[in-house]
Amino acid sequence: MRRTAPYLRLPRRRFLSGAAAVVAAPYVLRLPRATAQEKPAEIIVRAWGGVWEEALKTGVSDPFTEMTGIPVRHDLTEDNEIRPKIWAAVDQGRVPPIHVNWDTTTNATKSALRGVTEDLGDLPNLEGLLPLAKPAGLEGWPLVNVYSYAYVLAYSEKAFPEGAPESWNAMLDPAFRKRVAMYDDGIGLFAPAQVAGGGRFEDIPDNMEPCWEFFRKLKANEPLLGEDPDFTNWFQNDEIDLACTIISNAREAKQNGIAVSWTVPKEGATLDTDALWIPKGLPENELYWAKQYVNFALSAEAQQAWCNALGLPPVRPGLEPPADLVGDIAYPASEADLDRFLRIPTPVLVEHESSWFERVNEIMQG
Amino acid sequence: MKSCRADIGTGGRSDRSFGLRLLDLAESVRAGLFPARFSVWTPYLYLLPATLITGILAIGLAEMAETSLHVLNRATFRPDPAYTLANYAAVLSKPVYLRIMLKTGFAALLVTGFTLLLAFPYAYFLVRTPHARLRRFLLVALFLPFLLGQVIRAYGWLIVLGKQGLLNAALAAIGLGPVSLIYTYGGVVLGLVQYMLPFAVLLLAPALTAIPHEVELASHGLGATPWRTFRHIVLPLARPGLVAAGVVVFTLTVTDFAMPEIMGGGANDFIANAIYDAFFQLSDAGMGAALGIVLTLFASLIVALAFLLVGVATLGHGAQQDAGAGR
Amino acid sequence: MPREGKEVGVTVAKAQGGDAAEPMVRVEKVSKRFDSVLAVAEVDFTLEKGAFLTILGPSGCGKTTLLRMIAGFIEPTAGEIWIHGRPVGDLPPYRRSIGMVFQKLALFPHMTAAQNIAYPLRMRGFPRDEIGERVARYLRLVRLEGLGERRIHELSGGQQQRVAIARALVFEPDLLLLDEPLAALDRKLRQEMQLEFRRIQRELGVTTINVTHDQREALVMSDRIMVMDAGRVQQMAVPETLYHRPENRFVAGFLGLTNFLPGVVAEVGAGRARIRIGERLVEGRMADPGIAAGTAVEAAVRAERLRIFDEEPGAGWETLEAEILEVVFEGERLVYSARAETFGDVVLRFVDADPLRHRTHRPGERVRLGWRSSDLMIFRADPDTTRTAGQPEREDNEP
Repeated sequence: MRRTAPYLRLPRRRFLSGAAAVVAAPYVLRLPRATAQEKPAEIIVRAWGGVWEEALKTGVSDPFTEMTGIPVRHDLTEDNEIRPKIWAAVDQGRVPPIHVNWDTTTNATKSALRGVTEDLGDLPNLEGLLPLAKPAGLEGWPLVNVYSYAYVLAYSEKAFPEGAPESWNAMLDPAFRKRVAMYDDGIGLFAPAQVAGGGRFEDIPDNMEPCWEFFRKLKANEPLLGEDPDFTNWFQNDEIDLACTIISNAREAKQNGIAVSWTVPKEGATLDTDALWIPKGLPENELYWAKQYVNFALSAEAQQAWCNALGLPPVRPGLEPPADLVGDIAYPASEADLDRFLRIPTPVLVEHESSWFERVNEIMQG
Repeated sequence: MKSCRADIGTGGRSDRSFGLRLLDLAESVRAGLFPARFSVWTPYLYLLPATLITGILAIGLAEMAETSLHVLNRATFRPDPAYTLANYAAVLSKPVYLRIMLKTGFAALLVTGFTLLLAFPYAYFLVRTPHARLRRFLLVALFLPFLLGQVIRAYGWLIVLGKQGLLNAALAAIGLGPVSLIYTYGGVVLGLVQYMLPFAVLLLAPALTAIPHEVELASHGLGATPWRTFRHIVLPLARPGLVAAGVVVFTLTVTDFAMPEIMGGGANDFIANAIYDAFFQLSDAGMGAALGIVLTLFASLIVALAFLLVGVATLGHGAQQDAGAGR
Repeated sequence: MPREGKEVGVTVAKAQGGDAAEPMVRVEKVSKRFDSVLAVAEVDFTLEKGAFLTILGPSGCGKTTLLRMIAGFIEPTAGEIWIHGRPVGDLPPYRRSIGMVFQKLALFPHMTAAQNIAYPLRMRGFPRDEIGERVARYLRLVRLEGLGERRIHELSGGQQQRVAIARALVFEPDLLLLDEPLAALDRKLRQEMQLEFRRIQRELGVTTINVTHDQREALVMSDRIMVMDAGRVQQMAVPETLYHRPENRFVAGFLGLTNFLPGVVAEVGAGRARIRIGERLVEGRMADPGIAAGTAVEAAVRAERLRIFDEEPGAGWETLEAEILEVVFEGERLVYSARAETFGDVVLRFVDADPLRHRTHRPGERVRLGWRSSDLMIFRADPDTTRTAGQPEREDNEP
């Protein structure tokens, strides 16, 4: 699940995009006058590595430091590994190891259910966000979704000279034996697999046999199972031709000069969101500045730079999409575009995703 | 004059007695700390630190056992307070876990076998070569990858064996390939064998050093070919080293995480990876703990079996051997 | 006659009566060079069947190298070795019919005594019955009946020695090689085992080469002794000849307690010479032939050939006055040191082993020392040893 063990990180690549220009734009942080909170020595934000960290740094963290003078440190501990640490810290009344967690919405929701997240309802920048930003199935704002992203079908252009594959079933083609890849827990592929396997999207989670049948067939094709940076890596090293991955990873490979493209096949593609949340147990002043960080991340300027660097549609409407993704099938520009995508409700994911992971694991480790 | 001398005498005596009192005090403190009648226990004092550390581990294990008896409540993502064996039932009933355990165990057997097969001649050559420079080279060649650590070495394998790696480039040059060795079960085994080799050599070398060269010469002189000398003399005498190396390599492999994680391409998980997934991917500490307990039992069982089979005495056998050879 | 060994593929040249004219061992111009060091230099000798030869020399003299070349563990740089009339240069050790007892015995610690003894028979493919019979016989021979099932570490040092010799002999090899197996034993056990080895060797009549730096062991055990130094054979002879008629200064010094007196040849006769030592002109026997007048020599006289005379002895004796410096009581004998002014202040050592004399001379006492002129051996001065000339060589050159 978007695992990014430190050792799996790609070499840092200087991120070249128009984002830098946006950073320079003047921005006024709306600080309530009455609370002149002491500044902490640093704000620690857990992040994913590779293109993800790069985008956060140029889009949010660096401008935040510039404005407030507070250095931001990115903790690249895996999302899955930081979670139990935060849970344990909150349980034991200790100060949590990070200030802000950048997390998948599903995992963030689990933490929210466990009650370890601070409410963000008082952030001024919540105003005017797309409905997508509001956490589903939860009271208030224990987390805020920051952008959406599609799990696309990425392909190497060399293997598809005729153009993009039309269906997810291309992954089952024996011609690509050992040259297809997916997330090691199957994330992002459940909904397309259900549809491509002949089932109905609406049957999730009650009847997912078509989905599992798809995974079983895929297993016969000996897929590689990995995490975010692996896909970029594998495309660059010519290990794979097809992958179900987040658009950002494929785009990273493409920007590195690899002939990689992506598509949303006829069955649709999973659309999901990532979130920011703040763990409970921070000292008052640190909580204050952590909230300021999240607030800033939701500002138009930060959203523009951060999300464009990632190639993902932000939750703040009315921003410019990145030039290379204008009109891209995997970059929803309007509410209408969202119809192409398969969106499993977060409460369903929270309740069932672990058992789906187990199921995939069962099939793949066979 | 007399009194003066007496004074000096008294002074001297009182000085001496003060000194003696001090010594007595020191002695009684020493005796209190290390009473003579407890002196048989003194050697056991040296075991204390190791016992403490093992004790802490045992506490951890007990905690883990407790955790394993609770299932995860997915509404609160907290362990359910009720005690249950459901996690163990899941571990034993889900074929995926059995498969992972079998795969892990089989890989450990393969890795142990291949590692010993490769390590034995290496260690033998290292110990027996009369050329100091060659010995140094062999040692450096052994330690260099040892110092690099498992993760970097796994990455080295990716570079060498990848689709665009050195091996496939070489194969392509002679019109063959490409072969895929990484992201396979075989790749994991290969990576582990390479990782374990230094451990095995280092454990075997002392056992081989303990075999006097003259014993091998004697065997030759008595009519045994080099192969029969190896089979009847070197191999049996190296048994303590082989057992030690085998047990270490087996347990290290059976509990390994990084190599299947990096070299396995996701579909060749070991038990440790399953534990990781349970703890971190599924946030199900109970399931992870149950798997951990099962792995601990499994590895302990194998080690116990190994010792039972070859005898714990073999580990202490080296000393007898020396005594025998040196009379 | 060579016969096929019983094990497939292993041919063993085996003693079966043999040709009486052919020596059991013939070593011809054998040399061994380790890098720049010539460890063994053109060694030549032959050994008849049944003989017991001891190679005697200080550590590093090349004796062990020579032995290991005969065993096949080391390949000669030059020369050829014949065993039982057959060149063995191409035979690995396990195809030579040689039993060897190593300095550290090299018993197999994971086997019992009986298994150790059975090992060469198993390796040579003897039938099971015969193995059992022979092991029992050889256990009896070395007086270890009933101890066959003991592990090696359960045996005493002497018992381990016996296992080692039984193991080396059980397959009835052409040749038995002993690589200082007794060196590590204490004196008493060593002397006991010397006789035991000799008894077994005589009983079986096995041709034996023993290597040692212990002159007493060499003298006690051997039919013949070969003295080596610096890789070269210094002298090979029966023990009595070697002791009484050493051919050079090294041999004279290596065996026995010997006084060396630096001198110059004054006058040469037939096999005899007059030499000047200090102020004295004395007569002696020429041990090195062909010494001309004016040559620097060393005269040697054994400590036990010097005697104290209360009165002037008769003809054939030489005497001089000396002052006792030191007396050492060694139980069965007294060892004196005395300074002889007329011999240029040389210090002489001599022994008094006469239990009936009962007269101990004290340091400071002056005595009259005498020797037969035939007991004075004249050697060419060795440039390496003249430095220490006048100092008696150590008698007991054991560790």
